[in-house]
Amino acid sequence: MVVFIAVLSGCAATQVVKESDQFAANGIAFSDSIAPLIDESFVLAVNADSMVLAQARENITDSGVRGAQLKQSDKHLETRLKILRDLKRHAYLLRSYFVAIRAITQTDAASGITEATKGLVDQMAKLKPGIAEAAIGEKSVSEFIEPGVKLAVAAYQNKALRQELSERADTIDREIALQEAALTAIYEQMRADKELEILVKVRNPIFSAYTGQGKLPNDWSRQRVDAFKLVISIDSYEDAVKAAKALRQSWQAFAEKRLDSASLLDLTRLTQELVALVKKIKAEHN
Amino acid sequence: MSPSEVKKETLKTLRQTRNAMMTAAWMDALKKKSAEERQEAALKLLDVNSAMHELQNSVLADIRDKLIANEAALLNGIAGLGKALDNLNQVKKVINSVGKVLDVVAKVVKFVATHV
Repeated sequence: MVVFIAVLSGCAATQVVKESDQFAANGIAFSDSIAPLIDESFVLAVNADSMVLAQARENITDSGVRGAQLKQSDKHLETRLKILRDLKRHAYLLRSYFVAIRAITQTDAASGITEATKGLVDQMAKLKPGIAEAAIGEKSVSEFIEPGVKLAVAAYQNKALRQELSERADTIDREIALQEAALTAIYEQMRADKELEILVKVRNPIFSAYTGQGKLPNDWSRQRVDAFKLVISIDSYEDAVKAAKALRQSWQAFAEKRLDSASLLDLTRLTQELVALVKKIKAEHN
Repeated sequence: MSPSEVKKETLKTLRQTRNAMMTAAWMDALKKKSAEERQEAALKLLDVNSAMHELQNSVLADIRDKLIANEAALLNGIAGLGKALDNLNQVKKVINSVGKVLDVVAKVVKFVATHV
């Protein structure tokens, strides 16, 4: 009976370790995506700012005024760059936390301890022959070592993770909430800046061609289709916010011991969408 | 409305205004105005742009400051998990050490059995 209960609690501990591992893997993928997104937000901000400056320049004749406006924009963007650098540094810190969780869930200590324990039994057998073959039920001591050690290590991993959760559940919850707030602010800026880029580069020429006196370009309708597609594509920037929300909800469920496979699957799907977005952004710059 | 919501709504309005002042329709309308009016409109556009930057920086700086305030606790968590991992690896070292001692004991027992 005692063995049965021990096996059951060991299996539950193994499940917790497995879920923690999946959760941490998603946390790492999420944290890894933040820096490229932040970099992209800055590129979009500078592009949008340059478009505004260029447009205004046409109607400002005084070179002194022009210079002062450019300096002011540069100052704002330099300030932004410093804040974004701090946000990126913090994303790396959050990554380190998830890596530390994974180091526990993925440790090979179980195999190492199993080998070491087997060696110990061998040594004890030299002192007291027959100990390795001694039976517990229908199994010998040697046969019990590996599953026993694995369950014990899982129980320890589970205990270590639970202790960490009880001590720092609120800290990590706050951290993810702040990352979500940062990504929401960045997403809204990226959306507005990308909309401006599409407006200036795609929609304004379409508008001017139509309202002007000349003949419409042959691909005018095609240009309109492309413009609509571009506008829709902006929605993908929101993936980062969705992934942050899912990560926070999963963390809360994890801390309250109610994280299930459905939530983990949802988190994995949203994280993968975010990773795909980052890949797309990187491909566009290469 | 909380201060952060006010900032958010103001930012939204500023962005909409900036983008509206960059449309071809707006620029066409400006062409019919005098040079002074066009310059005034251009300066207004830059004012909107500048206010937008300032507010966005303020929103992000608020979040950054809160993240920094959370940093020590996060670092403690990383250190705590590292210690837990060390403890786990320590078990293997202890068992190996005990094994080595037992190996020596076994040799001594064998020696005593054959020589005494």
